[in-house]
Amino acid sequence: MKDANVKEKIQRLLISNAVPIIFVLLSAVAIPLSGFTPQYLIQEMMTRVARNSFLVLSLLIPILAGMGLNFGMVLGAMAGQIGLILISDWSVSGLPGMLLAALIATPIAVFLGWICGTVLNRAKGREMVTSYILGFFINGLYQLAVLYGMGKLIPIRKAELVLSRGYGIRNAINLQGIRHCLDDLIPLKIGDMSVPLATYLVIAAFCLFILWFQRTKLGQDMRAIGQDMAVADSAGIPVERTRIIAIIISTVLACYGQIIFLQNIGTMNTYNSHDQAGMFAIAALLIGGATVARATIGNVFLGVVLFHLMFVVSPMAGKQLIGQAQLGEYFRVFVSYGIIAISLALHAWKRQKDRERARRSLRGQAA
Amino acid sequence: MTRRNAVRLALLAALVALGALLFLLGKEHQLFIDNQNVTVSGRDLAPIESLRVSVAGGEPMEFMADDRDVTVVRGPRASIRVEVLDQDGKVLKTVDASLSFSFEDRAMISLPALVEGLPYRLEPPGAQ
Repeated sequence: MKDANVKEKIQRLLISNAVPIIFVLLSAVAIPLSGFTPQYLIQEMMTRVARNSFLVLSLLIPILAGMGLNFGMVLGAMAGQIGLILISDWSVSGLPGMLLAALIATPIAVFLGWICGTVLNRAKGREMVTSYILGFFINGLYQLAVLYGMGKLIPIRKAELVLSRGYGIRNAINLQGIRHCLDDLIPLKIGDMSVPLATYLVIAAFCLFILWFQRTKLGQDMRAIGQDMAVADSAGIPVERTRIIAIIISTVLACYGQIIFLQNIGTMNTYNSHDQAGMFAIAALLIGGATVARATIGNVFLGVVLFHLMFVVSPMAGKQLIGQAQLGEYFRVFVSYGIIAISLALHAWKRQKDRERARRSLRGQAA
Repeated sequence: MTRRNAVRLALLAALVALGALLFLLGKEHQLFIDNQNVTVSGRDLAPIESLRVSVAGGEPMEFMADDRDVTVVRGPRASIRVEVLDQDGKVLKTVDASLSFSFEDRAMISLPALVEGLPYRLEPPGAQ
């Protein structure tokens, strides 16, 4: 009996952490094959954790509210990009430029978050697929605004930003003015490695905010809604309003995350940068061991490290294995979509198992 | 107006003011630095043979007579240091000044006027 219990516990532990375990094993194989030095990998991981963590952290609050993975975070990313286009046109650079972009983008992100939250309230139980499709819809509006509105309705003065026909924004925007403005704000070198300390401090502040937020009345309401919407409603919690607030917070934070991400990259792909933001952030979170219903700050950092470790080592490992570095590029997309599919399937399977276990235990008590 | 609306309005005004402040602090200006013939306050000033100019503590730029160069400065103020050099590269005279900018994209200064202590701001190219 005791052995069976231990076996079941181990089985449950392995199932709950299947995705991170797979990635740890993959990394253990790929790292020696890639031939990269530990110093190079640590530097890469430090840069990538600083670049991506904020975006991934923005997913936590909707999960707390039981709304699953917010594929609608691309709406926030689009808002951030609009802010960046405008500051590029106005030639506002450095940290003030980045903050101004965030300030301009905030009301846009709030509005888009409100739209997203309102739509998701009409699609309870199907939030993830709805927010995914909503992302495509708003992407259409974004492209309409940027491709036709900017330069026509919204004045853009800089010729290097506008397409040769006189309106619409070019495909790539140089963000040289704000490149690394946050990362290099507090210069810190450890040996040959540069540490983006200011970005880490911002991320740490965000983590503290999430921990504090979970203890507030609103955070507790979200947790209650996440556990059972009907019970929360009966307890007098304004369910729909709280869900909209969760999505607004997530969208605004995704907007800031995208600005931090692009200040690190230094160039912006006007029509594509936001596309992958949601997919890669969600994949990273799931790789960290999070599920559709539960995610922690630890999952975020573990996921970002494991996901990007694979990104860095897979091209070289692929080259060593089959003589083609392109494998790494395929691997990125394959891993992102594949891991989301695996996690969703595992989540559904685990829920079914939990239900069966609950039924069994109820029958046991009855007997 | 209710107290709540007043607070909201004040918050909105504070955010707009913050936006304007950030704009002013982060605004980049193209600064044209001119070492050519110029007439200022009725005086004809000839270009200076050799100069070393440093803007906002940046890399020094060398200027010969009739040179014009452009640099980018950020924010509402920038310091400028002009060193007049002799043929051997020794510093004959140093002039420090503070340049102020508002919302303009371009500005131009005349080095001979600056060295002489005369008004040195000129119309930048493309301003007409």
